[in-house]
Amino acid sequence: MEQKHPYRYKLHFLRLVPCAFYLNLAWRNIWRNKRRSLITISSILFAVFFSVVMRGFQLGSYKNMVDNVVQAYTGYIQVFDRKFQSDKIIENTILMDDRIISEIEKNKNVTMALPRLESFALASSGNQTKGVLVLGTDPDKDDQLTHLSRRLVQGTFLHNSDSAAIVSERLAKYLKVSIGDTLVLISQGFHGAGAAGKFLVKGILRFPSPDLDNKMVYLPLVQAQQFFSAENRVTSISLNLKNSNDLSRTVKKLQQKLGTQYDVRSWDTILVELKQQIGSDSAGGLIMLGMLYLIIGFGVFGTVQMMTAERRREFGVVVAVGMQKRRLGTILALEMLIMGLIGIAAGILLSIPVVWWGHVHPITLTGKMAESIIQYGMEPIMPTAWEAGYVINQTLVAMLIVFAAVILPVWNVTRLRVTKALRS
Amino acid sequence: MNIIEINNLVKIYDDRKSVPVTAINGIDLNFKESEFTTIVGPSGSGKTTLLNMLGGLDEPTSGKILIDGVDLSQLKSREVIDFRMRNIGFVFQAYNLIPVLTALENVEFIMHLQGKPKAERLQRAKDLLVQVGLEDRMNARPGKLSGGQQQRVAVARALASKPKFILADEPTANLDSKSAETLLDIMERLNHEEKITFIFSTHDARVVAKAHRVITVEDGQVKSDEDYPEH
Repeated sequence: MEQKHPYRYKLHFLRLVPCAFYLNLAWRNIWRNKRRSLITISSILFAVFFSVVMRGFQLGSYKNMVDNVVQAYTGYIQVFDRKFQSDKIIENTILMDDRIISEIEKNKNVTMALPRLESFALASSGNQTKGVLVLGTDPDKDDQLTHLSRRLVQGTFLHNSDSAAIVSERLAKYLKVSIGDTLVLISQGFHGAGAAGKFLVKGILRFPSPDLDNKMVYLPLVQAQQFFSAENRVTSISLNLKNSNDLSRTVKKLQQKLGTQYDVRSWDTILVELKQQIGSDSAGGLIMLGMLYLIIGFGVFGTVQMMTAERRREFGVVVAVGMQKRRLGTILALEMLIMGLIGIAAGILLSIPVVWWGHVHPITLTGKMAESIIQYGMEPIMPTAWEAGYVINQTLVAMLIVFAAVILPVWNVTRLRVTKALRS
Repeated sequence: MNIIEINNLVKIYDDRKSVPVTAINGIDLNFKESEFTTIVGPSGSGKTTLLNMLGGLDEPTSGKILIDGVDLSQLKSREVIDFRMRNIGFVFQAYNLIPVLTALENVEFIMHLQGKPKAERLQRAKDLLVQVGLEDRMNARPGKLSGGQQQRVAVARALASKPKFILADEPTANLDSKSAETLLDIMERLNHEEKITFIFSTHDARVVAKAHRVITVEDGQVKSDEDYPEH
């Protein structure tokens, strides 16, 4: 008898969507070999735990470095005259007016705007002379930004009304000046005007960075402006931010507001070397994480392969009795997905307290490592970063590994030959 | 009325690495509704290959199998699976129940695939398990059932989709004689009372003794085809 009507069943997509029964089946399949499933889940758990904690410490250390440098000197953002970066002379400075400060302070992410005037000068005391960096600033505001007064080792801190200077410790030693001595500064001022002045040494600061400790002279801003004949002029305006993660958006907004006459820069474009150092170190960390994931990934892949190989006959049976191969593949993927989610959730739950603890109680480094870090002007601590971004990233990577591990077994199931599977 | 028509069926296994093997060599057969048929023959004679092709598990090299007028070779792979689910029941030698499901859930399984409502599924699965004498073992998983009990669950599972026929490949091979007898009695009763078509592939003389039709296959060909209506 020849067939009269071609036989066609409608295979609705929705019938491939797993319902509660298939979720239940996947769940039971996971626990049919508890030990193996627990090993798989543990692999994922440890991958997530170690990656989150490792990355947390790494990013926390970078943030600490940045905060140290930024808070010690630059601020998160600096505003310059457009020409200053290409030609750092006192002529390319900003003429301060009410508009610029009010425009900056309108930005809700800016907590402080600190105008500074800096230039080089020759410092002299007795027979000693040395090239120094003169930094005119608002001492009280600078203290809020950089905690400058904490570096004071002798004398008292500056105030705006003072006609005095505070100098760094090594410079003071070189020039053989102490509290109450007079420091003579000679330089070239605005438009080539001669600059010469005498300043009482009011305090001595200690900088961990030898470079800074050898050259810093702080003056009240007005004194510095008078010294350089640059009344109302500043070389930069340093800004502190409420949320440093919103750095690039704040830079963009400020640049739009202030216009092309000004150059608004974030710390990472000012401190390019630090940025590069962090970048290369971070890449090394990512390679380590990649290796960790690779090892864990192969472990998970091996387990999934084993899990599917030993159930080949069962797969043959369910396809023989009428289960579509794609549906079977979906159940298999669900099994892996459930194990992956349990492992990831457990990994995050375990890592978050560690990350929080590391953030609140950073590891304090000691010995030579601490000394070398202090030399660079940084606190010898290793905090963790308390932010969601990298945790989400590690979660996504772990999910990707789970998906990658399940692709081949699912592909094999969709190409299953029932008679062969039944004989296995 | 014929529910299965086999025309000049040929199956040659050729993996291109070794010599091609002709497992089925031009078989013509018809099966009617309510048959209780066994296919017998020595090992390697082609019984299982024939059964696999009848069940749409394997494709013929040439020839045709029409089931209820439908040519399986014209269907796509997904449609063959769907066709099997709705029309063919399987009982395997090694029971092949899903180990993580209870007896009741194993029977329900195919009805799940068919998208039957829960109440209908449950009622039918329970009825079938009562029919095979497992009313008190419904919630036991296969690991807690004896071989005979597992095979009875497999029969209930095969019946669940209300198939046009059931293919049973050596269903008694792993059973002790008492369990085998019980199983055969159940299948014979289902055949008598519910007019369910059974096609067995077997070596077991007890199955042959109960069959109404015995087809002997040798070297991939039908050697004899005899009816025993007195059974």
